[in-house]
Amino acid sequence: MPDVLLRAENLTKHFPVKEGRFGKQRSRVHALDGIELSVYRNEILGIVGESGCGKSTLARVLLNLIEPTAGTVSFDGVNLQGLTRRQMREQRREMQLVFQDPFSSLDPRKTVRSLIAEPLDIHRVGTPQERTKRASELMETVGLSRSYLNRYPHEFSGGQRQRIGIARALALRPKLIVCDEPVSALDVSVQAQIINLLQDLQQQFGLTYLFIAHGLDVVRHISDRIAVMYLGKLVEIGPADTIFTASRHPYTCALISAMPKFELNPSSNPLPLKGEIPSPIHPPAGCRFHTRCPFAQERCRREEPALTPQDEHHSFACHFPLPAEAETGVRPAVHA
Amino acid sequence: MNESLLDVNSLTVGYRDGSRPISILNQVTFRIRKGETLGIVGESGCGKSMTSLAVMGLLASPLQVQEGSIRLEETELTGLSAKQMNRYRGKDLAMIFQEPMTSLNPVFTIGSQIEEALAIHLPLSRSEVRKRAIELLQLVGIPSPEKRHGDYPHQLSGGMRQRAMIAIALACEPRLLILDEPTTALDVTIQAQILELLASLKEKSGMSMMFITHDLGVMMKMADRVIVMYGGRIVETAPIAKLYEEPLHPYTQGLWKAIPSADTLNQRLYSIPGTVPDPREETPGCRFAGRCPHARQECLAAVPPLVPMDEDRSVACILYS
Ligand SMILES: Nc1ncnc2c1ncn2[C@@H]1O[C@H](COP(=O)(O)OP(=O)(O)OP(=O)(O)O)[C@@H](O)[C@H]1O
Ligand SMILES: Nc1ncnc2c1ncn2[C@@H]1O[C@H](COP(=O)(O)OP(=O)(O)O)[C@@H](O)[C@H]1O
Ligand code: SF4
Ligand code: SF4
Ligand SMILES: [Mg+2]
Ligand SMILES: [Mg+2]
Repeated sequence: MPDVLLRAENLTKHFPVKEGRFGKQRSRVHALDGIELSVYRNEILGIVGESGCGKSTLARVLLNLIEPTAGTVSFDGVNLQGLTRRQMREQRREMQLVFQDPFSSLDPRKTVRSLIAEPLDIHRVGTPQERTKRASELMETVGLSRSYLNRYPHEFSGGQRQRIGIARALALRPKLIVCDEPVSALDVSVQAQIINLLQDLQQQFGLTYLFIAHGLDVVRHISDRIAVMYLGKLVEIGPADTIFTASRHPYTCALISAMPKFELNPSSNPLPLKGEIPSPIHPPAGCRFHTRCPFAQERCRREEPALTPQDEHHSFACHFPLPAEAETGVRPAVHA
Repeated sequence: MNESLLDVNSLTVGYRDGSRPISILNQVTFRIRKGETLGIVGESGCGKSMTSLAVMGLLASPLQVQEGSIRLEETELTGLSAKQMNRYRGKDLAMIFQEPMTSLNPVFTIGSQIEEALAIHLPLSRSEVRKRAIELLQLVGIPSPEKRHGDYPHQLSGGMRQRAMIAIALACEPRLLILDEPTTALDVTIQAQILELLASLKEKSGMSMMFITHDLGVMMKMADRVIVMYGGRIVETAPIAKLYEEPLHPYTQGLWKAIPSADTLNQRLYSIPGTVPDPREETPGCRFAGRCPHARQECLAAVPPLVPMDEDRSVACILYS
């Protein structure tokens, strides 16, 4: 049995919104619905899905930054929903977040020293001198010169700012780091530097990552397992290689085949997706993907498929999954 | 297909910082043939957008063309007044930006924005204009175009807005369509739809495109020929197949190697050390020397010129001269 660090059960998050002509009608955004998910210790779990499918909401609920509407999260055996504010504050040291936009997530008026030491200040770790010392060690850990300690964020490039964000996340020696699109704003070469750094840090400190990203090639490169989300639901989860070469859920397949490939005369997309992701305020009944799924049948419109394990590592939620043996024409040849 | 539509020669663009001239683009020379899609790639800050703005005549003060020429067939565009340039913009040249929300006018319906583009340049009656606008919405794959005609930009999703932008850009059947990262803000699934649309439009209309992207997968799908920019200069240019198979410039090679793929799984990714220099930063000789694995003393002596290697590829690096 793999060692579970984080476990989500029936995790659901609905946001109340006002709709209609005078904003009188009360509706709910179904951002997450009944998510069952385990994150293993020392793994990198990638999370993919179209914009608005609930990736960032999942990250925030898992870290208990927002309350779930239903369901529970346990971290290292501790049920987060049962904690007092004070206990949660202690717990939060173990779980940190790195954001997409290094430009807006760092306070422009603070020096790098105070940005990195801020989590230490908040949790009153050590003396001020010790905090400065730790901040300067962390600079080195993430590949920045200690001499930059008194500079401000605007004096750094995008990649350097992302390093500062990572140093800050490392300050309290967490077990889990959730990376929400950490490289989306960066160029390929800088992206490669940050990916390498994240992998080195994982090895060095035995970290566990939840890695959310748009760039599917990056997710494949870094992840041990990948979870695919669609409209607030987990539709498939499995080893990275399985998801890319032997996925069973039509949505996973369509998503991967839409990815532009760095190859000459790219073959035409075997499974083009029509239309756009429907509104999460009134998600389709039955299988939420049925409005866009080329294989949808009557049953899909009525009955919601449950996430079902195929084997120990691979689960998906579909009534009519793609055949297990790769069939040319349906499943894209990935990076052939 | 061999005839030039756009000829850019020794284009230098920049501004004055006090008495010091700062150049953002330096001696940029390229051409786009009729019916051809030219891809422009490079990291952010390399001058891709500046190149497109210069061609569109959209450089805002203090930025200006310091040297060189931009010819659209027989017409020299650099000397034109704003009023003269307006005759070409929208009609012969059209541009699509990365973020459609900033280039669509929020207070007008998308239908009226297409109609405006049509009415300025084409002698059509009101009912003809409306009919054409609806045809254009249909062409770019907007469902129920009669209804969508009356929608405001905020009522559309990101992908639909980008389709509306394409409809506006296509209104007068431009000869050159410039696209600056047109799908960067979109999901891969929607991006695939838009790229498919653009490829089919190109097929049908025979227009030329200048396609700017930092996504090399997108480049492979769209470009016939590519220019690679670094630090405001062209460092390599070649037909897509040659460039893909055998990138010559160390910068192109570095970009190629940094892409994660099935071959790089369980390996460290290659990364080009350092970052793109700022235009205000002066560097001796080759602009890439500080990051180049092959750099040597001679590289610092002078800027390597873009030298033809064969009839359709050129590279700017002393390793090849
Ligand atoms: N505070 C909120 N109030 C109302 N709706 C919200 C709120 N936060 C998120 N949502 C909605 O919940 C859904 C999921 O949003 P979320 O930010 O988790 O998506 P995401 O998968 O991270 O998307 P992206 O890829 O664009 O970052 C979306 O429809 C979003 O508009
Ligand atoms: N209005 C401006 N004034 C001064 N410098 C600018 C201006 N706009 C862009 N630059 C600089 O010009 C360089 C090239 O920019 P740009 O063409 O936008 O790059 P790209 O599109 O390749 O990312 C960058 O270093 C950028 O900072
Ligand atoms: S359950 Fe039906 S609609 Fe949903 S993914 Fe499977 S085949 Fe498609
Ligand atoms: S000229 Fe020298 S520094 Fe520049 S790319 Fe060629 S080898 Fe590298
Ligand atoms: Mg998000
Ligand atoms: Mg740009």
